[in-house]
Amino acid sequence: MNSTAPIHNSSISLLGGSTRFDLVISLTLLLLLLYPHRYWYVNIPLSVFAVAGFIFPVVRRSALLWFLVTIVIFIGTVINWYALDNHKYLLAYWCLAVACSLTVQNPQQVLAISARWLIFLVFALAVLQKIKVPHYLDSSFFYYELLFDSRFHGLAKYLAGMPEHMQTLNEAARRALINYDSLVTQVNLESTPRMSSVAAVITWWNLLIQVFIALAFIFNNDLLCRCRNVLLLIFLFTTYLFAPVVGFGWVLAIMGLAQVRNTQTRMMMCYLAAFLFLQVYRIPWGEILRWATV
Amino acid sequence: MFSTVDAPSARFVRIYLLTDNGEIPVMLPEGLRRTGLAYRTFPVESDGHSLAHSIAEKSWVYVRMENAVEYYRQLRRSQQIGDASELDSESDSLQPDISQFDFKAFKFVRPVEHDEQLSEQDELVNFNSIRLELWKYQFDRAKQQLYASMHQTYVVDKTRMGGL
Repeated sequence: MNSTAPIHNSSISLLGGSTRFDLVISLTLLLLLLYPHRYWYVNIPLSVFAVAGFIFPVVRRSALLWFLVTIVIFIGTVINWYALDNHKYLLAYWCLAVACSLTVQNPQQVLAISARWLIFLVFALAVLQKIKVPHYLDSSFFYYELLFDSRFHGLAKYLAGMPEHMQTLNEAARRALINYDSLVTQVNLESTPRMSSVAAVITWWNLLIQVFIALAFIFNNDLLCRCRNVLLLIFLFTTYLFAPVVGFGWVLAIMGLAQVRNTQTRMMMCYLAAFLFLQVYRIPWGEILRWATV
Repeated sequence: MFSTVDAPSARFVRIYLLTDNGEIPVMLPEGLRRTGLAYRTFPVESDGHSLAHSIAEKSWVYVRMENAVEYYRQLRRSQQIGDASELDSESDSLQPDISQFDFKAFKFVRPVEHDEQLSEQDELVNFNSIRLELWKYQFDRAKQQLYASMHQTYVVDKTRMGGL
């Protein structure tokens, strides 16, 4: 691994002199360990591989380990295709990229290219899907999410002024509709006047930042190269504040870190900060606020 | 993709056992949850038909609900534990608190488990066929409504299934 690029001098003291490649694969191992699949036949082998990789540097730098990790994740993904979140698929591709990078002379460079293309594909496909489906651009989707997705209840409550009893009523209406012995075919929902505006802001913010990220990651000039990290970091710091899907956020932060140029040490530190902050976001701020104001 | 209401959580199945006396709505059996989720995620006709077949292949019984004290009393009697006088005095102290509660008034049905031994008291549901419906709800923002519509339906005639 002598060809792996060391982190720029200013960061070496902070990170104990580890190479960026080493840091990236260690963070990926941490992701495998802390956010495992729920299926034991994936979970247990991945935990064993991750622990072995942490203990023995030579193991974590072995292509064989990463091909095994990839195979295990792919098996879990194929068997449980219908129940897995999107980022589990992305994680499988990322581990395959790590494995492939370890078979060449300059793994850091290959991993950086893979990371850049994967980030581009994630955002480009997300944008395409959002444009293609009928009820995204008119903000119906986020309106619905604000009414029903518990991750958005804080936003619905504090920005759109939706009281908790309305959320409870809407959820009861939905349950009445889908219950096995129900004959109901439609239910009325409760909302607030500000809900439309909040939904529209979220919809367009989400779409535009994803369009910009996709564009910034496809072209490779200096200006875009600088912008792309800022955009991705803004996405990480804002999106996961409201939708704390830490597994997804971590994959993106790791890939972001992997594709940063060696001279962009501040960006590297920002990606590491994002990696840590995504954990802080999991703190139930809404509940704490409620408790503090009682 | 995080962009549409049309997700597996917005699709649901309704299942009915069709008997001579009417339809009995039932929940998807625990053992078929996985197949059911796969079908709701990617609803292709062959999977819907196969799911309906699996449900029709099962035997269904009425859920027996009984008072816990009464059950205990019967169990002790049947196993003849303790002498008669001991059982009687114990029985006296085991009067149910809610003896007026009519458990038999409730009619639920459940599937018979694969290796389950039915007792004489279990009553099998005599159904002729099952109907499985796949429903999907949509969100109408203008009317502030969720409205459901049926997308697929399968009827499996139990009498025409081999081996039943």
